[in-house]
Amino acid sequence: MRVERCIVALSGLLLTVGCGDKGGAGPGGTNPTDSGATGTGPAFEDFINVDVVYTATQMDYTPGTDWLTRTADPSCLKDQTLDGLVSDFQEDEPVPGASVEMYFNDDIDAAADVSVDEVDSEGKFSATAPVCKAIGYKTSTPVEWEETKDTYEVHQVWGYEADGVLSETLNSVSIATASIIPAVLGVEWDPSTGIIAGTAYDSAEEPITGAQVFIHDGTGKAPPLVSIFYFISSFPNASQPYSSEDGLWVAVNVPVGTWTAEMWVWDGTQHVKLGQTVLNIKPDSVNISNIFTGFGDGIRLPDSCLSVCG
Amino acid sequence: MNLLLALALPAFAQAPDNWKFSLDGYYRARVYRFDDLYAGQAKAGTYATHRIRMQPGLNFEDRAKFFMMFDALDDQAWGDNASLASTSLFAGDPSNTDMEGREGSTIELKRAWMEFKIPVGLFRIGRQGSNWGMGLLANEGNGFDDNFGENHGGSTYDRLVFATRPISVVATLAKKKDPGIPLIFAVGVDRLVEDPLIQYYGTDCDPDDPEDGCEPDEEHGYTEDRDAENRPDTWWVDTRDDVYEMVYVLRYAGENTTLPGGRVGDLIGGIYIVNRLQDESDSNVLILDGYLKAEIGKLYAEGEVVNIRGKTRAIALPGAYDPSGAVEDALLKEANIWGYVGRLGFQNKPLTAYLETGYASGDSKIADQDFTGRPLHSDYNAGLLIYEEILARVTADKWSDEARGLWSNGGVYNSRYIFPTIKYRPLPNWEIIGGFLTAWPDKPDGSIIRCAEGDYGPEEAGCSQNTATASTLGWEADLALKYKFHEHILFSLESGYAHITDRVPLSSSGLAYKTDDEGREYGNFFTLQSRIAYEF
Repeated sequence: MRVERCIVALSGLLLTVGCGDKGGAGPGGTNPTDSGATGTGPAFEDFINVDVVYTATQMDYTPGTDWLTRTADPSCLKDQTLDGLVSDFQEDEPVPGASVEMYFNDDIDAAADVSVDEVDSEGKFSATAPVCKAIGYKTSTPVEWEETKDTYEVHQVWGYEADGVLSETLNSVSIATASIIPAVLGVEWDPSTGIIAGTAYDSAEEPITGAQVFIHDGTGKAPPLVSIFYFISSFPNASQPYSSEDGLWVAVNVPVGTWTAEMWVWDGTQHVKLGQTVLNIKPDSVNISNIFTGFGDGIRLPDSCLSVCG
Repeated sequence: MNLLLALALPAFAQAPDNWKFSLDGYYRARVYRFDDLYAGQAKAGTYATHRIRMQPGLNFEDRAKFFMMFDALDDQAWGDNASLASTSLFAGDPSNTDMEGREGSTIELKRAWMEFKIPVGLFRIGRQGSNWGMGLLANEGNGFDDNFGENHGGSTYDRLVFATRPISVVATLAKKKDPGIPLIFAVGVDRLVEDPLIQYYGTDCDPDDPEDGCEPDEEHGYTEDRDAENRPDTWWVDTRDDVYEMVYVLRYAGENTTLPGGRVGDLIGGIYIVNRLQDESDSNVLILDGYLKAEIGKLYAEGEVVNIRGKTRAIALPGAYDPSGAVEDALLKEANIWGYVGRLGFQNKPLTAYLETGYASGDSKIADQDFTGRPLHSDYNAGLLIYEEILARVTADKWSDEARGLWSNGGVYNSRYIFPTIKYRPLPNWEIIGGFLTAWPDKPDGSIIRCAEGDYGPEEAGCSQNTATASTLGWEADLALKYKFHEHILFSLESGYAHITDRVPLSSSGLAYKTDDEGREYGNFFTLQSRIAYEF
């Protein structure tokens, strides 16, 4: 398998000259051979170039085959009481007064099915929410507070609870956290774009070491100014070229619109795609979304949804 | 108590004339106007702040002195900005709100120290200001020593220092005549931290070892915030977490000194050495700060160079890791920070003209092992806009409250500059000052200072993207008119106009910007400021 590397290192910037291969909308596969990237934008090779064999605890998916599916048992598709807590992503502390919007069709462009104008002083709220079904939510605080960024998490699936009560934490990213991560990484975040942060998971839902992420518009074209970074021991590090043991990654400057985030690894002979997710990015927002091995939409139902519930 | 007073009163009564009371200080008010500073700013914004500084002193025959320094209404904004009145329109009493919107105290005791002489020197003990050279590192922030702008902070240390004239002492011991060489040596110690409120664990804290202070199952990072009430009663016993520094000074202050070649002039210079230490973070940092000032005839030269070097494991910022993974302790940082300012010019009675150049080293990758960036002291002012306002706001926005220690606070930041300045004194007590500052980036980091092609060679770690095209950060023109009247009233009218290039991320920092025909971002900023002060 040929891996083209038309990368010219110049002044610390990786410039690629129109010879990159790209990912695509299809299921997991190997590094594609059809050249699709043209012009001066970044190409597949700019993002997917790891040459260290990945490490995973469990792999139940063969790259190149159809995406896996998980279907919830009909008995699990119920609405349950949600005892929600809006919590700061970094500090793990409640965010009093935050607003919550929940989208039960996993579509953040649709009208919210649940809107909580203001959670209580302990960051708590109650609602009714479906389980074993992908949903999305948004947490925010009033702009004039200058406290948090609009934080989205889609493709979220909560498992069935026998007692009918869900206790779930909804993430909120502070402006301080959202500002300092790009600063540490040495990249300027354009507030007309969004940030995506997530974890690369294997089939056991454990982090994968050695994964890389490629973001494109569905046709293989990457956003021109997007930068993707990885973490070491849960801290962002501009010099880490692929996911470390924590599996964490972050993409900065993802333009508004719908984008596909693919997870690739090096299997010893070639780059292979293990999974992907599709995200709808809003300006000046932080989007938390994971990529699961074998799944093409970022949705992985928990085991509790697969057998008879109740 | 009555007995003590009875014993004490006669002592006061016996020598009342030997006590001298002094009161130094000032009241200042400053008004600011900024046009188009923030994106979406509809019209010019204005605000006013003020400060009272009082420094009472007791002086007993120049042998024993005691001083205190109070600041009141310290840089607090005029008006009721805390809604003390329920309806703003009916506001009356002003609040104690600073320009960050925080409520402060009306009056604060900031310094208190004593001085006394012994036969071989002088001791100064207490919480005291520290100043060296031009103030790039240690800057007391006293008075009105800047051409443009104001002092807002000031270096203060809890310090014990002893100063002596070593040559005079040696001459006296040798029973020879004191040659009068104005050489001073000082040695001191500063206690910076007795017990940090933020608990430091480092990378090698072992939860199984009770001496390490890590509770089993306790979740914490390299550091952990804690409340003061959670601190044990023995908090002062642990010496591993103490931070202190040794200070050594050698200073020559020659006035009307005969120089080689027979010319007579003023020559002041020396070196200020600081060794900062903390056991638990293996910090051992050495600061060397050299200063020289010469005024010979009409020639004026002045310069200061600072170098900070050493190792530390105390900086636990997100991403503060060794990227190679080769270093066992991921917190290890090797500091090598440089800063300097130099002036060379001409001066006579009506005119002073000099070229100033300055530098503060930057850090292109804050997450790596090399710690190379530090701004010059925020009370060393270079102009009114580029450093004082624009980069101060950009660094605050990008580093956020989580890393306030990396804010520039108005100091010269990650750049070098030239700043030709002319002072003209047409009449007694009148002064007109003009300056033109141009600044270039040092080590662009891609976040606070954008990168451009050619910033880094192939062997150097640069930015992930080159999004700028300009070579400079920008330029600014400053003009000030200063007038002193009634002996104590100081008036200053200052104005600045700055052009900021696409090196500075104005748009993503919420600042006003425009784009040129080629899509490059830039900004033009204007400020008008005025100060009036009563100095006593």
